[in-house]
Order: sequence, then structure tokens, then C-alpha cells
Amino acid sequence: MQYVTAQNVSLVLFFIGLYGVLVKRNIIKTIVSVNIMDFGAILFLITVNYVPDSIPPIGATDFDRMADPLPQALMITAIVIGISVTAVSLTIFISLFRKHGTADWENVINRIQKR
Amino acid sequence: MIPLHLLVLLPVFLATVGYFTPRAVYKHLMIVTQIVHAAMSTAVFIQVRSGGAIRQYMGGWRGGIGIALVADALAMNLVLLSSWLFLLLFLFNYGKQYMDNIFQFLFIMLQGVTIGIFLAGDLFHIYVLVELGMLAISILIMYKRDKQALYDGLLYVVLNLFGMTFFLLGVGFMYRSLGVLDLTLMSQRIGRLSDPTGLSLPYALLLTAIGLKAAILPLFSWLPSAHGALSAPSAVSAVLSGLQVKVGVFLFLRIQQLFSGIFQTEGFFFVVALLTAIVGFTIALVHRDIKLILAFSTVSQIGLIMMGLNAGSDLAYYGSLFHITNHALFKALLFVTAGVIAHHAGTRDITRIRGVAPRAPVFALATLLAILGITGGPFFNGSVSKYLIQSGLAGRPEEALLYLVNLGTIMVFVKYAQIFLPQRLAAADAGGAGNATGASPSPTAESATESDKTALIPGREFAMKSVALLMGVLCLALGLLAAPLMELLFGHRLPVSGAFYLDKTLIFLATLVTGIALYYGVVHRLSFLAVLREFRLTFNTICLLFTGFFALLLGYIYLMT
Repeated sequence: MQYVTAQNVSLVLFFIGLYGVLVKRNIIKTIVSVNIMDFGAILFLITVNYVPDSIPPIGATDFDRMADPLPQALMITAIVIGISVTAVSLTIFISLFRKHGTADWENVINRIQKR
Repeated sequence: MIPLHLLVLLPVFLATVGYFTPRAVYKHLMIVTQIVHAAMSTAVFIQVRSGGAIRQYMGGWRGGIGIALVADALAMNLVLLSSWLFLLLFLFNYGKQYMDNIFQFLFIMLQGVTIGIFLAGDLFHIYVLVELGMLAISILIMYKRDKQALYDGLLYVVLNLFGMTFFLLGVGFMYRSLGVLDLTLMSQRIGRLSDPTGLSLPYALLLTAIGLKAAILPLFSWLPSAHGALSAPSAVSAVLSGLQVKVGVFLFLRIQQLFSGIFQTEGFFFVVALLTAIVGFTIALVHRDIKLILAFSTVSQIGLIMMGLNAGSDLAYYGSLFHITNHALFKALLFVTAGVIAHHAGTRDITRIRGVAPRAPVFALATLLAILGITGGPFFNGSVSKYLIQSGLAGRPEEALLYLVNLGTIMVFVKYAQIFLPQRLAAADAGGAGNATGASPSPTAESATESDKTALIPGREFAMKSVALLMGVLCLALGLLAAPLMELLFGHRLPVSGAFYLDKTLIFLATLVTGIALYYGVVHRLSFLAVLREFRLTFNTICLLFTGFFALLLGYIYLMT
């Protein structure tokens, strides 16, 4: 069980996402896979330097047992950015799908070149 | 003293506040903003040159916690360049139809973000700004809605999001090992690590993501579809090619600085840069769309810049830094004039654009000046920076390769200069090119709709002409004043003598003749090269190449250390 740490889980997530990006031709699946990679990286950063039994860094309590607050503050920003970029890419995808009627990277480019 | 965050926030703040004013007011407000910004960045630049680097922490936090802004000589050079380039482009676009509030707002956002990246003092800050810039760019390149716009935009967004996850994971590994994200503190703590080679994984992650931004060899496939996008207004292409790629080069320098002395990857990146330069001009030679030719020429020039940076010599290093400025200037000029020329001709197919000089004499002159700049014509800025890179390599076998790259650049622009041929040759050519025009009727159709949209506004032509001419003259001026400028910009004395120009002229003429002969004698006739034009990597292949590049870099570091 000692291998199931947050760090390892996040790396596994990252590579699952990478696999999806490399082999899936569906645009939706690509966007989902990139998001899995993104969250893998975010989970990695949140749990970096985590000490067991530490308490959340809220309020002025026991400073010695407090978890490292910096990654948590930064990752909120990273999550927000991830969501907004995903929103933008999904928006573009919807217009693309309406225009070309396919969700496949290769089909899209083939249809554009044929026209 | 001007606070550094004003450089980043002033344009963004004014663009947001003024957003709801009418268009005519907004336009002038933005130009005033640009003038103020250019003056401010010049003032900060002078201060940094005389008093050394400035460091500022936001929000009153101490170093290591607060967001740091660092203005050192390297950063301020690029800030100065970008703020003046944006001013020039705003003036150039003065009367353009597409200059509505949304466009200008996004354009200014891009400026703020770019300057923020140059001034950023910590890794996470860089990550945030790069993502923000990507959002602005993705909308800007789809601005004139074209049939391929959505594909180009989506490819750009998803690919960059993919690349930046590598960057974020790299940041995570760096934080785990060092406990800080501030670049200065990081480099101090790296020195104290007992075994810094353990950082090879984050190093490879960060540099692969940056390689995507800088568009080096296997990672450049996104660039032409973004920079040469049919739907991108020419000013956007100019900024992307002139500045945005340099962000990648700048980040490359920052990360290399951080890891200097731990990983010796100069040799690796020199080879990659050389291949980038060669592949860039080869593909540029086969394309017909003038904007795509320019976009691939950017790939080749980035290769040249990276070659100089990784040559391991001071002279080549400063030559490359100077070439960053020069390339921004002439490539921006080429892109904006290409927009005008395509508009006049009603097509973007290079085999059909003829007789530019009588129709638009001012833009033809400006294009000529820019071509002389990029090919390294005597007395022009390109010749000085290329000469510096070359003298940094003097006596080594790599010098010959530099001549090859230069020959390639000249061939590309010999091809580009076809647009100056007189009109009646076009008729003779049309027989041969008839097949081509049949195969790709798209550029014509696109620019026809474009010309409907761009109705004339008084003062438009005048602003465009004067800015284009000014930029052309700047190309020449930067070459003539290279010695004092190098001292002013980089604090580096230039070893230039009178014989230098004569020498350069002879070499340039020899290369030019070879280039013309090779292009019209050989390359022009190789029909099989046209296959390269249809060649297009799919998204999955690009990602596979990206991962392959990462694995290659990681393996190289493991073997070398």
C-alpha cells in the first residue's frame, strides 16, 4: 500500500491523460485527456511536501503542523485557468462541429482541404 | 522611478476602463496609451542600463512569497522592443475596419501579458501569463472568420494547453526539490543541492514546453497554422511572428540560465536549432501562400537565433539577441505589407501576384527594405547580427552550415521577390500556374471577402504608408548605427571596422547570385517538392513528436551527466 501515495497517483493520472492525447482521434476525448493531465499536474503540486497529520492553513492556529499554504494558493489559480481554457476550447469545438459535422481531427482537416 | 507593475497593468487597465467608450474615442485612447507606454518603458530601460537590474515584490510580501517582477537588461530589451512594436502596429492599423473595441482590447491584453512574461520573476507567474496570452491569441487568430479559422484556433489552444501541463508538472518537481518558485532564489538553492543532476526530469519537462512556444524542430507544426492563418489580421501575424515566438526564446534563456553549469545541452540544442533552420526554409520554398512563406521563414530565423544562443560564444550570443530585435522589426514589416499587397492583388498566391511596385510603390519600397534586412543586405540590420553570429562560430566547421542557412533565407526571399516582377510576365506564367490556381482557389476567395470588409477610412492610407516606411528605414538605421546601438542595448562593444562592410557586400552578392541561380535553376523546377505543401501533421502526430522530443531530451541529459 505504500506505493499508493498522492504523488504516484498524480503521476499515473498524468500519463493516463498523455495516453489519451496520443491515441484518441476524437476532439472531445482529446480535451478530456488534456484535462486529466492538467489535474494530474495540479494534484502533484498540491500534495508536494505534504506531511501526514498536518492541518489546513486557515486561521492562525498551530503553525508547526500547518500544511504548506503556497501550492494550495497557486493551484486555485491553476484550476481556474484550466477551466477557462477548457471552456474556450469546448466553445471553439462546438462551432467547429456545427460547421464541419465531425469530431475527428483528421476528418476535420480532410473536409477543409477538400472544399 | 516608475513601478514595474505599471508597465504590465497600465495598458490592461486603460483598455478595460475605456472599453465601453465609443469606437472612435477608444481608438485614440489606445494610441495615447501606447505612446505613454513606450515612453515609460524607455525610461525604465534607461534606468536599468545605468543603475542595474530592478527587482520589485508585489503586495508588500518579502522575497520568495510575493510575486516578483525583475527588470534586468535582457528583459528590458524585449520590453522596449515590444512596447515600440505595438505602438507602430497600432498606428499602422489606425484606419482598419477590423479595429473594433474587442479586437483592440484583446490586442492590448496580449501586450500586457507579453510584457508580464518578460518581467516575471517566478516560474508559476510565467505559467499563468503564458496561458492568458494563449487565450488572447486564440481569439485573435480566428478574428476574421474563415473556413479554416476554427481548426487553427482549436489546434492552437489544445496543443498549447497540452504543452503547458508539462510545464506545470515541471514547476511541481522544481518546487518539490527546491521549495521556492522565485527564479533568483531557485538558482541560489540549486547551487546548494548535493546532487543537482536529480533535476533532470523537471528540466526536460520545462524545456519541452518552452520548445513548443519557441517552435523548434519537431514542435513547430502549430506555428504556420497560427501565424499564417488566413483569418488572422496581418497585424496579429506580425505580433505573433515578431514577438510571441521570442517569448519562447526568452523563456529558454531564463531556464538555461537557471540550470547553467548543471546540464550541458548546448550541443543538443545547437543541432536542433540547425535542423529547425534548414527545415524552415525548405518548407518555405515550396509554399505559394505569401503569409505561409513568411511564417515558415520565421521558423527558419528562430533556428538561426537559437543556433547563435547555443554556439557557446559571447559574440554569437549577443548577435542572436540583436537578431531578435531585428527579426521582430523586419518580419512584422513583411507581414503587414504582405497584408496590403494581398489586398491590392486580390490573392495570396505568389505565382499570381505581380507588378506590386507601380500599384503600391510605398509598400513595395518598404517590402524591399525588409527583404534586404532579413537576407542580410549590406548596411542593413540583418547583416550585422548575422555577421556576429557567424564570427562567433568562425573557424569551426559549423560556420559552413551558417552559410547554408543564409543561402536558404536568400532563396526564400528570391522567391518572395517575384511579386516585383512586371505584370505581363504573369500572363506567361499563368499557363504553368493554371494547375496550381485550380488546386487552391481558396486564397482568392478569402481576400475577396476581406476586401469587401475593409472599406476605406480617411487617413488610413497615410498612417499605413508612413509606418511601413518608418519601419523600413529603421531596418537600415539599425544596421548603420549597429555599433552604438549594441553598446546601448547590450553594453557590448562591437568589433566592426571599415573593411567589414566591403567584405559583407561581396559575400552577400555572391550568396545572392547563388541563391537566384539555385532557385530558378533547380528548386523552381523540382515538382516533387510540391508534395511537401500538402504535407500536414495531424494533432496526434504533433503530440507524439512532442512526447518524443521530451523523451529524447531526457535521455540525452541522462547520458551526458
